[in-house]
Amino acid sequence: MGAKRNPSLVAGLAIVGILTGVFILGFLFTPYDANLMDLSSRFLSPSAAHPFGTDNFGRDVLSRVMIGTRTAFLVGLLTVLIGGSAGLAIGATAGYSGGLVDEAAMRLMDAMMAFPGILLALVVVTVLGPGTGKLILALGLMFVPSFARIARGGFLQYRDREFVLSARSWGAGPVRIMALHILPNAASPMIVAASVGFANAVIAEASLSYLGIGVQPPDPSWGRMLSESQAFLFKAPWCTLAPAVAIALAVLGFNLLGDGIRAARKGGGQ
Amino acid sequence: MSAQYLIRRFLTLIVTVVLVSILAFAAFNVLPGDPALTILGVEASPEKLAALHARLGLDLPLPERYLVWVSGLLRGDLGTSIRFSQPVAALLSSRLEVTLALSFLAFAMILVVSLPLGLIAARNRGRPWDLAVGLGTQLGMAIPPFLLGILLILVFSVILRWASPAAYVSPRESLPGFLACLILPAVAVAVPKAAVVARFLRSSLLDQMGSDYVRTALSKGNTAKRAVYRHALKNALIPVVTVLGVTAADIIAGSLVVEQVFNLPGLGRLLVSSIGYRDFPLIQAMVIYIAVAVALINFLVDLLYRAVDPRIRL
Repeated sequence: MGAKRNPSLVAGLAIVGILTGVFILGFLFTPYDANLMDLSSRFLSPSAAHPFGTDNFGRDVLSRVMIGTRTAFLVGLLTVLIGGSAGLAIGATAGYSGGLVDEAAMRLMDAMMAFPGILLALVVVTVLGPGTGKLILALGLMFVPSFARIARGGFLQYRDREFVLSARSWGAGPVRIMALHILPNAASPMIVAASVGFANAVIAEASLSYLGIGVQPPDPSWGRMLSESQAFLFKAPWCTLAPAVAIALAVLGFNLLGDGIRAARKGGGQ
Repeated sequence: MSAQYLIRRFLTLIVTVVLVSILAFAAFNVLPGDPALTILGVEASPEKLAALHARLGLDLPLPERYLVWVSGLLRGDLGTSIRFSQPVAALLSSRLEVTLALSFLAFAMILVVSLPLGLIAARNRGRPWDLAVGLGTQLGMAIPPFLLGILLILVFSVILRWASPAAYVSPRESLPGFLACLILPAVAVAVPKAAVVARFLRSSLLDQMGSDYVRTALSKGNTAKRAVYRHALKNALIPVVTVLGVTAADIIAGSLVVEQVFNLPGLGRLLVSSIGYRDFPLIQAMVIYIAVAVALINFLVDLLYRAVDPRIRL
């Protein structure tokens, strides 16, 4: 598949590839200790020693952005995993069973969808207290209804097809049919949703951490870096711009990847 | 729109609202953790704890607590804020105008920006204008509202020195001033959603333009422009109505966060600052009201959807 035929896929893969590299690198190496304060080198503008400059505590912004990538990716991965698997289980059961089960499950999903995502996360954090683990749980919950709706659509579409009827006539049970026969056919919208969901998880984590109810200090997170740097926006704009670019790139990359996969599944480019 | 559909849709609205209230209640009451203990701290004396339990109604059995809470909501009694020791309803009403004005302004901006962009892109499919809109909307979606807000402050207040960032003007002081200080926050909320709607309109229009009735219109000698505006656009807008409905929840969520960026005294600021104080009655009331508002908007959008498309009869 050439870059001309599916530019979204190529650009998305490139950006996600680079960020994944940074994510893995963040576990092995950062130029400086991300939490190391050095009051003699506060607010240094970008230079060879500190490519993205330093912040109000003299911490290296590049190192903090790298550790922030680690946080954002871990939260994104786990969130999509939780939301995706719970959503798949609910949506698949609802779509395949139909009738009252379907109706009940979808009404519950409607009710969950009425809580704007951030609000749902706010509630969980209010009740359970802040922390990265609780944040992941909250965001995972927030993604369940959208995944459930997509999965339901796929399973509803295939449940009366010939290959399903034939599998049933051999005596295959519902779980086997759903997992082995329908899922492979209904998977591609789920994969697209996972990629776009990852982008949304990055946004949600950054927003909540910006509000001070996501990732807690001293762990660096892109959103918290933005709220900390807003006070000295004029003095040290690089402290704001570095995490800003990181967030925009991650969201752009995963959105493009989702678009690209969708286009590729439709056959060829757009 | 048949009366039967109206009744059915109204019943699902009721079911959704009841479920929403149960979820909101359960989140604060069934999840592990004692709100009274969280409020008073671990070293609180048993007497104090019991007193607060009674004050919050926590000594009643769960179903009874739920009924007490819901009947209070229906009567407009939202309880008393722990942090301010004031009725929640009074606290909310002064903040509501800021969040509502911000959300409506953002919604208007989304309409004004996204519809022309979607049209331009679809009419110039594959040409530079389409690519420019495609690229611009991808970038627009990549910058979440709070981040766009910070960048707008950076550009307008710090670099161009136009408006001072923390200058909120109350509507009772000056209505034009109030609206003026909401413009940048509304832009921050609107841009990512306008990008989504523009892209959606583009693909919806392209679907319509490939259909038989548009080809017939063209073969009858209609210009491409006329075929788009008189024929394709009307049908292409129908699914856009649904997307605008879904956007409502995002606009409110975006407003809540952006208030924090621009220091606007709306619901979002109250909500976030109340979390630190564990002000459960206040937060619970805000959450249920926002969720019910979203469910209502979706209900109205569904009715609108049926009204504009006479083909859909279920």
